[in-house]
Amino acid sequence: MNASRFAAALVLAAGSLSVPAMAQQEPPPPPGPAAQREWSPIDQLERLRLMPPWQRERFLDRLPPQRRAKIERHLQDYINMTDEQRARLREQYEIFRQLPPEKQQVFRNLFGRFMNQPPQRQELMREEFQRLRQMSPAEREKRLDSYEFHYRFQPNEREILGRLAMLLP
Amino acid sequence: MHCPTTTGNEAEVLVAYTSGTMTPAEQEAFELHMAGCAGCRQLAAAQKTVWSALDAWTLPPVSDEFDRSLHARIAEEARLPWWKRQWGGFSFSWKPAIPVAVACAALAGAFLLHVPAIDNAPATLPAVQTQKIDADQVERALDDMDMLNQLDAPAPAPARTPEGS
Amino acid sequence: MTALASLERDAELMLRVREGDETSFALLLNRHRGPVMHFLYRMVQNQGVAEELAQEVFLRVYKARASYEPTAKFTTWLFRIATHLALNWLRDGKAEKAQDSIDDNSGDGPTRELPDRSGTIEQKLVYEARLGEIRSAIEALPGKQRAAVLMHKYEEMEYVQIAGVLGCSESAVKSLLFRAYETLRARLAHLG
Repeated sequence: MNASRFAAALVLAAGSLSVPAMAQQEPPPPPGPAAQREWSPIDQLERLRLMPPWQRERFLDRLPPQRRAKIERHLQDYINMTDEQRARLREQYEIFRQLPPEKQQVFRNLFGRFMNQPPQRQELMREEFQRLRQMSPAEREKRLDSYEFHYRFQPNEREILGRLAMLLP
Repeated sequence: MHCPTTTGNEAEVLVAYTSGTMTPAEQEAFELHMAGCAGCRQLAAAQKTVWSALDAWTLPPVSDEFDRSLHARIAEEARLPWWKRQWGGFSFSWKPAIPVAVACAALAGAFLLHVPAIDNAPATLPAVQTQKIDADQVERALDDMDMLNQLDAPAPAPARTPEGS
Repeated sequence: MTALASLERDAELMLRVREGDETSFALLLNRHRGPVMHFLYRMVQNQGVAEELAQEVFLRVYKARASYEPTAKFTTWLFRIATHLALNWLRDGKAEKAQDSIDDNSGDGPTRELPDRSGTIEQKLVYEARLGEIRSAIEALPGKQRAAVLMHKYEEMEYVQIAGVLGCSESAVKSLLFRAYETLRARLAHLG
C-alpha cells in the first residue's frame, strides 16, 4: 500500500497548498492586463525610492565605488525632498526629456559652463534663467534684447543664458 | 416622476441623490419631485445630514512606521521554515477546509484505484528575481534632475554682517 | 491617472510582484496603504488593531503573490481580505468584551482622527461630541452593514464591487446599505 499512502500524502499536500489561494476565489476573469510597457527613468527612480532600504543596497552594491557614491548621494537628495519638491522636479524633468537628445546635450554643456562661473555670478544668472523660464517666447526675445539684460550680464553669460532660453519650450 | 416612497426604491434614489451619482437629468427630475413632496424632502435632508456627518470623520495619513513594521514582518516570515510558512500565522475559518478535505479524500480514492507514474522530484518555487533597474538610466536621470534643481534653487539668504561693523 | 488606467496598473504591478519584483509591491503598498488602513480603522475603531490588521492584509497579499491571477479588480481582492480580517476581529472581540469587567474603563485605544486645530474650546468640544456620535452610530451597525457603508461612502465603490468584496449579490448589498443608512439617519439626523 506504499503507492496509495504516497498518493494520499501528495493529495493532502496539494490541498494544503490551495489554502492561501482560497482568499482569491473569484468569478470568471476579465481579460488580463496589456503587455508590460517600458519603465521610464522616472518610474525606475521612483521604484528605487520606494524600495525597502535593504533592496536599494543590493542595487547599489552592484556598482563600482565611485559611481555608487555619486548615485547614492543624488538618490538620497531625491528621497529627502518633500512630495511637492519631487513632483515639481519630475515635471521639469519630463519637460527636459521632451527635448531631442542633441538639444539635451547642448543644455548639459551650457549648464557645465554655468557651473564654471563664480558663485555670485551664478546667482544672478540663476535668477535670470528662472525669470526667462516664466516668460512666453516673445517676452523672452524682448528681454534678451533689452538694455537691462545687456547691462547686467557679460557677453559669455549672455550667450549661456540666451542659448538656454532658446531651448526652453 | 413617481414618488420613490410609493415605488419602494426611495432608499436607492436617496443614496444616489446625496452621493451625487445621479445623472443631471435624474437629479433635476428628483429635485422637481421634491419641490412638491414633503416626505422626500425630509428624507433627502436627513440623508444629506448623514453624508455630511460621515464627511467630517477624516483621518490623518498612515505613519511612516507602518512600512518598516510590514517589511520586518515579511523578512521574519521569509526566515521561517517552509512548513511553518505554510501552516503558521494564518487564522482562517475551518469552514472552507471541509470541502477541501472532501475533495482530497475523493482524489485519494481515485489514486487508490489508479496510481500513475509519479515524478519524485519535489515541487520548487520559481527563483525570486529582482526586476533589473537600469543603472545608466537612473544615473543620467539623477544627473539631469540635479542640474535642473540647481538651476531652480532659490537664492541663499544673504550673509549676516556682524553688528557694529 | 484615470481610474481605469489605475486599475490596469494595479493588476500589472501585481503580476510583476508575482514574477519577483518587490518594488512593484512597494508601489502597490504606497497606493493602497492609506485606504486600507482608514477602512480598517473605521471598522474596528482602534488604531493599534487597525494597523495590525492592515499589515496582515498586505502580508497576505505578499504571501499569495505566487498564485495571483487578475481574475477581478485588485482592490476587490484587497478589501475582501481586509473585510474578512475585520469581521473576524469584531466577532472575536465581542466575545472578549463580554468577559471584560464592567468596571474596565481602558477603552478601545487611542483615537487618531485629525484634531481640530482651529476654533474656540467650545467649538472643539462640539466637534468632538459630533465625532463621538458618528463613531458610535457606525459602531452600532452590524459588521457587514458597517463594511458596506464604509466601502460605499469612503472608497466610493459601486454596488457590484462591494458585492464582490462581501461575496454576495448586488441586491443583497443594496439591502445592507439601505438598512444601514436608515439606521444612520435615525441616529444622526439631529446633527443637521
